[in-house]
Amino acid sequence: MSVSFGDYVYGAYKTTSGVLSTQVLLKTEALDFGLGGLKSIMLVDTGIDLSGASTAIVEVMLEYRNSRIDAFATTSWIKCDPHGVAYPLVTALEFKVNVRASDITDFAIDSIRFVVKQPDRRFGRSDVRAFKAGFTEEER
Amino acid sequence: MRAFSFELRPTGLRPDNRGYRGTPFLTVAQNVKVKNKALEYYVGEMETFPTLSAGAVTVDMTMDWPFPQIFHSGDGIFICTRTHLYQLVYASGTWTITDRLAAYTGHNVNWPWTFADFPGTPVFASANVLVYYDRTDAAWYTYDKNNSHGGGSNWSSSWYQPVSICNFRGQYIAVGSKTTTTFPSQTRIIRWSDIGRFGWFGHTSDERSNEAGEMYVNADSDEILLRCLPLSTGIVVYGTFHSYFLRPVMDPPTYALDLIGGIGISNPLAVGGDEDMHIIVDRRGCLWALAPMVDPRNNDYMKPKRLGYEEFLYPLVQGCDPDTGTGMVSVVYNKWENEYFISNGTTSYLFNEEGLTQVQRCVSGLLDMKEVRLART
Repeated sequence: MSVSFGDYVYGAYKTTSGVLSTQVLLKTEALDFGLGGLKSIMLVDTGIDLSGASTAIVEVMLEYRNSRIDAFATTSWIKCDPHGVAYPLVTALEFKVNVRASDITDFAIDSIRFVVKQPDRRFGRSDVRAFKAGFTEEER
Repeated sequence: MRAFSFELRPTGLRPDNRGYRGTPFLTVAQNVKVKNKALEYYVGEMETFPTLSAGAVTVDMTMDWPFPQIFHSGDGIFICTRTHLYQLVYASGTWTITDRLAAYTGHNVNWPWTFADFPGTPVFASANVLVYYDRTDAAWYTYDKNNSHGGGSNWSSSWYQPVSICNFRGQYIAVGSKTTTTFPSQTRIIRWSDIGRFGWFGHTSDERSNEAGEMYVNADSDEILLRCLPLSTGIVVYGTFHSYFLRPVMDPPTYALDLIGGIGISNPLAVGGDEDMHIIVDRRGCLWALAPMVDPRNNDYMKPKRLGYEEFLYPLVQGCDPDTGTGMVSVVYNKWENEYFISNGTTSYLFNEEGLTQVQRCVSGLLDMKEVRLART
């Protein structure tokens, strides 16, 4: 028998039909950012730098609802800029954030940063809760 | 209008689905693994096992979940399928391939294989057939009582073939049978051999040495012992409803049995790991870690830690049927990356000490050629 084995780990495996090998897919639990009432997601920063990866794509899609008894509606997939930032501009009570990355074999993500505005004035006092939840204020 | 910055550090799939808001856990995490508190792309770091042939024999590596399984020892590489048990031996620059299941014709193996790595006398047990090498006869034997397929004389013809077998410090440990017998049923039996030989109490053991023995677990007759696997100073025996710790005691040399708890498994492959830790998928799809603890008297005892993840793993254990060999959940330990592939042939998850994620590859066997130290051919 003439078969070349390298100094590798060899595996017997099959690929699953529902998961693409070149795609990363992430979805968060429901997020309300510690704020009552409606809030707007202005920016989602995945922290993935796409410069230099010509075919790589990172996209963000939001699921959102305006009441806790409603089903989640979805936005379309929003393509991130070369710095991995998307600007979805969606106002709702709760969100689930989906991140999809294609053709990135060196994909790594350690945090997702959101910039959130709260247009719902009824919950102005909840700024205190926001600070307790770890927010840092950005005047814009 | 004020704007706030919020940072989320994703840490893999959520352990439970109670609907907390704002946690770092995910409900979908595909093709990543948690490493150093970050998520990195990962589908399973491995090369595809090549097609091997020697003379008229070609190793059939066709994926037929949960086969092929891969084992290795000083006696070679063993690739086990439903119809073959290939032994690959490399010597003097040449590979030889021998099918050790060639005499077992007309029957399929549906229950998964377990392996007792004994130098010179390897033994394989599926609940369908027992395969062992008899050093005295210098011959391989296959034994299946259900189909009246008898081979060799070192396993009693009145016993059913065990479901699982392992090597613990020079003794074979064999547990269970898939066939229920009159009380006490062989489904609940634990046997341990003479030290260093395939000799069994009540049959071929050396009774003067007082080494071999057997006991039945104190459980309902519906209990079937499915897997034995060494852990630290003893062997964990997993059944359909309970798990036990079999620990050696002296004076006289024998074993004692402690009940670990009501962690039962669906098939022999639902537990994986090494002598430091086992990862278990129980019948309800809950993930457990079992590792030795030390009590004040410096005796090891086993304390299971509940990890959760039923939301993702329960669908894997549904439809598991070892009798037909379908839908079996399998835990394959990759010791080189210290991670566990948990798969049922259609869905696969990856667990490491930092969390659980989903990956594309359902892995049935792994082999590190560097560790095997085979020469390149």
